[in-house]
Amino acid sequence: MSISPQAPPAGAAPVIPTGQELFDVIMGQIEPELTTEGVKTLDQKYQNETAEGLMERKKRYDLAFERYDQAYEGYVGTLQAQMQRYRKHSFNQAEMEDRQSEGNFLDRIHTAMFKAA
Amino acid sequence: MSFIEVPNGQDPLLKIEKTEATASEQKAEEKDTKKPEQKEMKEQLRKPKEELHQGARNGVEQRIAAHNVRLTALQNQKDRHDTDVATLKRRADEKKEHLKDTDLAADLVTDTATAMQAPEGKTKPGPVEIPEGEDRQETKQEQMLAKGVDQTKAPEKNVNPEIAQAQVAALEQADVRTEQNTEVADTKAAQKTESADSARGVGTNQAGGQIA
Repeated sequence: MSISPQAPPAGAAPVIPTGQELFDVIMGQIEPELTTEGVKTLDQKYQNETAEGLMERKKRYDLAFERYDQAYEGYVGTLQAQMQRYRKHSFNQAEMEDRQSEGNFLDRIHTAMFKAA
Repeated sequence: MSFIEVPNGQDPLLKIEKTEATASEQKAEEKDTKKPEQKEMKEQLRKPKEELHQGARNGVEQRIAAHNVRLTALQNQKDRHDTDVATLKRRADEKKEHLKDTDLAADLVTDTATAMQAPEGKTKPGPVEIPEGEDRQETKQEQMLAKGVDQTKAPEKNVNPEIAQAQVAALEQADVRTEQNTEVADTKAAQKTESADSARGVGTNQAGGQIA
């Protein structure tokens, strides 16, 4: 299962969520009972659970955490790639602005010198 | 004929109620026997269930704590990057400020270059063109020329008449003196010439005599 962060607009910095936000986003799509809000209701929800039900649930949770860890690595990898793109883009942007400004200035100097000659 | 036998003349409805009561009593008895079993089973499951729930909560908390560390590092990386970009932009602005003077110099060069090309261009004002026609107004120069004043000559200064008269008198006196001096000089020169001639005549005669 691939869960990726939302792509930021071109040139904009990616939004870095908090640990809890990130956990809830990913786990909410895998096992909603294990989100930060979901775990608070487990005791009440499974009051009359049978032994078989408990065993089955335990297996489900184990699998959910395993899938979560995989999804998390993919999510953070994408987030880091977005960060690198943002870093590269913003440096390129600053360099281009500076180059354009310098280019205009040099053009003016060049024009002035050759006109004067 | 009734399907229900009523022994000892009892009310048949009473008999039915008694039968229902017996059944419910039996059920209650069964429940009572099941309750301890369920209770026991619940007690047995309580601990593993608590362990499962606690394990789930721990798993959630541990992961969130680990994520917070990693995401904080990522956020710090982003902040450092933003600072780097801001520094880069600030330095570029400072450079622009520094180049402003040079930019002004470039403007000056451009202006000078434009001024040098002015006869062809429009930046330098050329001679004023006066339209030909009946309404044409004479220029001041033309008016002066018409009056016989040559404007090319330097204008005469305002002269005080007394000073001018004195200057004229002085010049006349100077002329007189020069004439007198000339006359005196001429007289002296004539005298000198005469005496020299006479002296030369004697000598010449003497010499001639000798030659002869």
